[in-house]
Amino acid sequence: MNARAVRSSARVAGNLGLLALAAAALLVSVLNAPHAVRLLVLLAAACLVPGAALLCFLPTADPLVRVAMCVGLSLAVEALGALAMVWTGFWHPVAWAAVLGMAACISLAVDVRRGVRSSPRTFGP
Amino acid sequence: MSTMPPAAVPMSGTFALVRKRGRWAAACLPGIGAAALWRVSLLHVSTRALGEYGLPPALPVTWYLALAVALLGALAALCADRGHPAVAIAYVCLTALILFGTVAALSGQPHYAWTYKHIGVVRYLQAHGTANPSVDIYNRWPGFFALAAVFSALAGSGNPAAYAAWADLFFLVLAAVMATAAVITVTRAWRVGVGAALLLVLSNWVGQTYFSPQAFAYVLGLALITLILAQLRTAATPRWLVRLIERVGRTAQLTPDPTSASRWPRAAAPAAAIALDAVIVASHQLTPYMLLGGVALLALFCGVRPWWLLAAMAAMTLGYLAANLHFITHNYGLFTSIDPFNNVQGPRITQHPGPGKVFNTDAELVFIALVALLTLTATVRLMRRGLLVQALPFLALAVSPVAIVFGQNYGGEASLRIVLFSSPWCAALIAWSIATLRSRAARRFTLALVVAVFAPLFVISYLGQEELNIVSAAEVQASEWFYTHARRGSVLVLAAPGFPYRYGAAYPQFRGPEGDANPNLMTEPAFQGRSLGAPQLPAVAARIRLYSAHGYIAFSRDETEYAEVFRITPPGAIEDLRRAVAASAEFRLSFANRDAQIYELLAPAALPAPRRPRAVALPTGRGEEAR
Repeated sequence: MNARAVRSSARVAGNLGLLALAAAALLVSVLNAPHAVRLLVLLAAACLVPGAALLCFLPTADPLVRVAMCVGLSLAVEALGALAMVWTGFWHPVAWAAVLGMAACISLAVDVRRGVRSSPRTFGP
Repeated sequence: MSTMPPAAVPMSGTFALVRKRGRWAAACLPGIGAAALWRVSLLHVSTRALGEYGLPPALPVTWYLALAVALLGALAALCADRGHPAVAIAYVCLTALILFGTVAALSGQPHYAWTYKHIGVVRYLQAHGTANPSVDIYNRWPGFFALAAVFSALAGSGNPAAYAAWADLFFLVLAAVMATAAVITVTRAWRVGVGAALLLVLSNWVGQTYFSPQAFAYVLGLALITLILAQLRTAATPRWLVRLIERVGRTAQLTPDPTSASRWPRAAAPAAAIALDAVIVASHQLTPYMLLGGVALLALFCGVRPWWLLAAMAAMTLGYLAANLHFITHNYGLFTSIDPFNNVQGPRITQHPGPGKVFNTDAELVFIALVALLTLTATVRLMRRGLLVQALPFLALAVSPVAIVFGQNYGGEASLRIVLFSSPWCAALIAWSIATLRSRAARRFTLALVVAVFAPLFVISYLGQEELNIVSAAEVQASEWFYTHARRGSVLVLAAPGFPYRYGAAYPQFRGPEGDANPNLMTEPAFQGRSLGAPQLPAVAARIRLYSAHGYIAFSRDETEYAEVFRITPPGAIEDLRRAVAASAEFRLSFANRDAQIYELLAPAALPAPRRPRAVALPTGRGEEAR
């Protein structure tokens, strides 16, 4: 496996992990999980998922830089939405989270599909 | 620590992978033990009777042992030939947990009384769903509060206090991640990046990563800098500057090589930078200016382009200020002074601090001086090694926050904010210079020495004031009672700073000055440095009526501690004043529990007929409501 294929497979695995995290965030919210669990899962999802969805379109080589960008962009996108809500008085945080989460998951899923198609050797026997 | 990665050992196959992962797991085992030891060490620590040296003397030996294991683990991972960044990062995070999670684990409440006003704003936004600029400055810069309100709504938590206690750790870890990424972007060496993160954790004693807009904007600011360094840096360092450095250092300088295989599409990076800056501009008053200074220096000396990004950031920052200019000039003032020596002064709380506070202050000053000295030494070292031109972004970012002292004292906190904003870049310079030492033994010894000096100074500086900063559950409960049940339109006056104020969603319905704190008696000379009691009651009533015809005065454990530790009042004076208030017919006990008592000032018409002074027996149970 060459370095590019390793990077591609790592990226696919990372995106699948983030999709799982988004699903977990939905589950803990719907199932009314214990407060600490709910907080931690939601916090992780809020810090990573939207930014990772944006970074699907933006190459970042170093994993640590990628994580940093992921967190920064996630918080920025969420805060922009939150600001728009408190400035307009159109306060629907759950709807905003649902729209953002869905858009992010679509982007991540598309990137997973693209990754799988572009490096079939990575997943072959 | 080395800038060069160790030579890879030729190995292949599953066995090699398992062996490698097994080695990482083994490297993490002491850390798991240290985390367990840390948690167990806190089981019998009480925060109720801390002396004026704060938390450090109350912590058991096992706590210090856990910290030592975490630091040794980080050092070992950084210095090992076959070290892995994940192991080093895990140990840095463990160090952060021990240092920044201890108070949260002990008290379960957010520390710092002033954190609660931020919680109040979040609760207000949750309750009303809209920011009201006429309420206060926080509603005019609502970015952080709005995001926290969204998160609270999603987490099913009506009160951010449920998670705000851990905000120090959360924001600090994020800041360390951002700083590591920024350093790696420039140095391309993970050991320097993680080493800088370790030094950042150990030198961030100023306590500005709590649940606050500053912490949020700080993290986003570091993300913005990382983005700029990763995507918008060119090799365009001015020739005259390179020649000057080479002449002074008498060494040829390596030029930066910002070319990267992972460049974003042309407009993406500036657009992302503007989005990040927009959130920062709408979240915090000071951070955009700190960033503007730093980015300006990066554009001037480090080849950050395009220029219009700087113009866009300036336009957003100044435009937002212009929209709020009247409010700022009316309530705070735009500039304090152009005298840097005046602006760098902190608030003078007392002329006669106790030995504990003198010790804390001395440790902080030594820490500041040490970091400055090491940064200077590191800069010289990097220059002599031909790396200063490459390290210019760190130097520019470390120096730029100092500009604030030429205009603002930021409520006496200018010096703290300079330390906050420059510390990641000072840490980066120090870590990089250590990595340039020739022998491995010298690198290990120097890094260990720096960590060994930083760690105790940090513990004294950061945890040494916790006797004042830890807020008890009973005090929070008293505050909750006030903002739920007290008469709207009244004012809450504090006997001294230390009571969690503006905690409820209804806080805008109460009177008081615009500013950072609720009014307290200790700012008036009539209450300072003397015994207190019945003779001061008219002054107490006058202080309340300065803001409203109806009002309350709160006494609490932390308020008493504050006044006595800083020797603003003699021992027992606040308690004497409370007894006098309790015995006065002008006041009525409204709420009391074991740590806090709130008395209502009665309107003249409601005063009962004169009677003998009475003693109030305080209930001893937690959170018992008196009336």
